[in-house]
Formats: sequence, C-alpha cells, structure tokens
Amino acid sequence: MEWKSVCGAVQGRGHAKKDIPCQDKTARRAENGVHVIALADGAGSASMSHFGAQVVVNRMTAFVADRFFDLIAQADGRLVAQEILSVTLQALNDEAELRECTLKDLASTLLIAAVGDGNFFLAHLGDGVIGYLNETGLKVATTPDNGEFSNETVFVTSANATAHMRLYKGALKNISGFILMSDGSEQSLYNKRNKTLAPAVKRLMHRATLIDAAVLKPQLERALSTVVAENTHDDCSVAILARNSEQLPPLEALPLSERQSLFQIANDSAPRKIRQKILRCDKICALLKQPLTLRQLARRLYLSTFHTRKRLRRLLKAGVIRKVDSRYETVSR
Amino acid sequence: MNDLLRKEDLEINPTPRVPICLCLDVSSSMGRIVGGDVRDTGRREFRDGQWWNIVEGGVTAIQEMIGGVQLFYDNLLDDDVARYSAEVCVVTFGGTAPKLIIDFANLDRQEGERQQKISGLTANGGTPMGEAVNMALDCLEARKKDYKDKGVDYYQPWLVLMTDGEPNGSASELQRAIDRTNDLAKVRKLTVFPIGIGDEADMNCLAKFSPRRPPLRLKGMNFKEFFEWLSRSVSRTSQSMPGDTVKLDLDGIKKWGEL
Repeated sequence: MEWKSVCGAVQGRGHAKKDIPCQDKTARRAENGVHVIALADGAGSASMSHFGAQVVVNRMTAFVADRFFDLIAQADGRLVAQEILSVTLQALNDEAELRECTLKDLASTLLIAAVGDGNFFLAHLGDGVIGYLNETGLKVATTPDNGEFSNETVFVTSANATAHMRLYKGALKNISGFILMSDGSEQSLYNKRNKTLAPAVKRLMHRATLIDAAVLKPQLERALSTVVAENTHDDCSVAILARNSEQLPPLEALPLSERQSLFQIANDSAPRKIRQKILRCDKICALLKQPLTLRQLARRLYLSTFHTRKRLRRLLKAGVIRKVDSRYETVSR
Repeated sequence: MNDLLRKEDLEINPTPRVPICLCLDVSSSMGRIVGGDVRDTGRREFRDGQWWNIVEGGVTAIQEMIGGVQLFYDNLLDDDVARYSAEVCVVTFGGTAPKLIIDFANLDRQEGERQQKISGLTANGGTPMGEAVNMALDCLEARKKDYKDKGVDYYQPWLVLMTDGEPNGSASELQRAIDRTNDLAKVRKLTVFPIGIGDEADMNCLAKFSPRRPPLRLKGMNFKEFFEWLSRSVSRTSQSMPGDTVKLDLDGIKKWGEL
C-alpha cells in the first residue's frame, strides 16, 4: 500500500490575541521512494521563529528525502544527530543573514518521520510528540522533552541540542501510520498522564489514506482551529504519514455508510437510489486503482466523456480520487 | 465536513499550573496601626520583642494584608487563564509555629474556605519565619510531586514571603530555610519575592532568601498595588509557552516599592 501524508498548522488563541504569526510549521515531501514529514514549533521568545521553523521543515524534508538510506545505514546515532543539526543550522545561518537577525531569533523544535523501502526513520528534538500505529493500535514513540517546567524546552539552536535529539530507525513491519504533533496539539491528542495517544489520531491517519492531501488539509486545519485550538493558547499543528492496513482499511473495505460520507453523497433520496450512487462511485474508484485518462475510464464505464467527467468532478471534490498529469487515480491504494 | 475530529475522541489534559505559596507574617507586630483614626488608651504592652502603645480604632497592617490577599484571589479569579492555572497555598507565621492555613487546590475549589480563613487571620505571637519558609517549601515540593504523578505540566513555583519584622524562631531552622531557598532559586527552580512591610522589616534577612532579586520594601502600606501586580504577573506566566522567558514587570513595581 502507498504511503500518503497530510499536514496542517493553525494560529493559537494566545498568538491571535497578540497578533503574532503562527509559529508552528509543517512540511511533507515524497521523492526517490522516500516519504518524509516534518514539524517545527518556533520558540515563543524568538521574534523570527516563524521564519526559522519554516526553513527548518523545508530543509529537513529535502535533506531526509535525499539522504534517507544513508541515515538509516549509519550505525552511530550521534553522527546522524550531528549531521541533521549541522544541516539545519547552516540553513538557519543563511536565513539569519537574510533577515538580519541572530540564530536564536529563529529557534524552533524539530520532529521528523520518514519511510522508504520497508524502513522508517524518526528524529525528535524538544517538546511535542511522535506517535505511530501498528497492528495492536496507537503507540507513542517519543514524549515531550520539556525540562521540569511547562515553558522550558530544547531547540535546534540550543547548545546541548545534539545530546537531546532522539533518533529511531527500523523495519516498518506492520506499522501503518506516524503522527508528529506540536505541544499545542498535544493538549488534545495526547494523554500526558498515561502517555497515550487520543483515539482521534487513528481517524486522522485513516483519512490521510483515503482523501487527497489537497482536499484534506483545509478540513484538517478547520478541525484544528475549531476543536484542538480551543483547548490551548498555543499554536496547533500535526503532520501525518499513513498507509492502508488492517487497522486503516482501504476504501473498498469500508461499510456503505462510511463510503457514502466519503463520497459526500447526501441523504436526500430513497435508500435504493443512494445505494446506487455509492456503487457507481465504488466502480470508478475500483477502476482508478490503476491511473487512467478520462477517455480510458469512459471507455471502461461505457459512458460518454461528458458524463464520466461529471462523475469524476464529484469524486475529485470529495478528494477520494486525484488527478496526476492527465490521469486520474484513487487515493486509497 | 466537521467529523474529522470528534470531541469524544480527544484527550483533555489539565491546564499547566503555576503554584504560588504565600508565606505571611501574622506575628503581634502585624497588629500595628498603619492608618485611620486612632485614640490612645494610655496602656502599654510588651509583645513580639518590643513595647507597644495600645490604641483603639485605626487600620492594622494585618487588615491591609488580608485585603491585599483577597484582592489577589479576586484578580486571579477574574482572569480567564490564571483562574484555571494558578494554585495558591497560604502559610502563616505567628505564635510559636507556622500554620498551613490553605493548602494547594484549584482556586474555584478554595473559594468557600479562603474567604473565611483569610478574613479570620489575627496578629499574634512571635515571628518563626524559618519554620514557615520550610513549611512553604515542603508544600511546594509536595504539590510538584502531585503534578508529576498526575501528568500535570507546571511552571516554576513562586514563593511570596512577607514580613514586617525580624525572625525570632529557631536559628537553625532559619538557616535551613535560607539554604533551601537559595539552592532552588540559584538553579531557577523557584521564584522568590521577599517583601518587607514598613520600616522595621529586616531587609538584610529577607535578602538572604533571594539570591537573584533584592527584597522589596512596601512604600507605606501598598498591599493592594503589590497584589495587583502579583496577579498580573501570574497571568502573564500562565500564558507563556515553551521558550518564552517571562519578564516580570519590575519597573511597574518600582513605582510604588523600594528595591
């Protein structure tokens, strides 16, 4: 099954009140058979940290996508931590020059998850949480590194950053999802007492496997704003990497009602008619497990291209299929 | 689509807490008149190490302090964030031993008892300050342990020490309290606010409790202003995020205090 990703960040109530930009930044990247997500939470005290956090996630997704196999082949974790930080700081130094500020003004945390060829790689510095899903359920990989007090943590610019960086690698086996979250999201998606993830995380991972990121991202950010940001003053962000599995079943294995909701078919006609509409969408999604052009699909459906396009439009809007170049394909595959 | 995150599938973690211990002098000298109309009775009494003229009427230092503490609570309760994050405990020292008047709890839960217990404070006996600070530090330690056990995040604890005289409890307890406070404050595990009330407060002794910040002498009897400032500072701290350095508005306090 193919890995999918989605990420989003929203401004917290505290920052909205003081008109400070959202300092949580996320990025995702898939290339060379590697899929990477990254998240950085800019330091509250650093005036330019929203720029810093953006540079960090951009640079790190590119770097890990490029060097994934070297990173997981390296036996000495310290060298990996040093390399990640030196690449990060180099990018931040360039940014500091551009913005005419100090490195400290760009301080942020750093969370990375990447998969490639049956392996995974995780890196975490500072607060926030990295979680994953395997055949037995949601698990926590790394917990927040907060120091004793709530407003203390370690940043990429901290002197002791290398020692604080936590690294994990291994075979994916039955892992089918990863989540990175900032401390703002932690408040709703992580149980601090039991050190467990909220059940909602699994739903987010599942949606990431079923709905195209371009459609899912605004939904995710709306949900973060209206639900998660309500429980904190801080900015909220998550980045998700997931694939279909027994825990995250593919589209065709879902109950009719769930498919209806994913296809965004309203409950406004007779049950028989609704069922018919769902099965029609099912058929298109099944055919598009292999990418097809409009003409190829129309031929297989015995429909005109006009009618085929109309049906595709509905599914594109719902995000269950996407268009790559001139071909359409189902997201869940 | 609003079903992406359902409230019932989320965790509700407690708001990070700011634990504050008020360690207050209620020795006999706090019964001194600091304002209002008074009438001299002509009687004299020896209390808390000195002779006092007994008068009728007027406002005492302890009454002013009680008013300040109540105002502190009211201000915190009025603040949307501080209301749920600030936790206050009150230790008093008078008589021969310190007393834990109000133990740590959420402010709303303390509402009933605090009105009665704070209003009921009376000035009486000696100044066992060392014993009281040790009790205050024990309370803070116990509360931090509770937070850790229950997965509650918390900010650096605050100790507010207010006295109008000089300690006259056990010298070894006093030294132990000074050492403990210094050890914590030096590694930024505790914020200490030593406050001297009036001209007779032993500022040298108060200074020993605070390696980072000189003690403050309240100009006149500005309890109200001090506690207003304190509640504003708690509010700022309770909204700080990782990496924030909470700058206390010391200029604001200088206007009415003496540093």
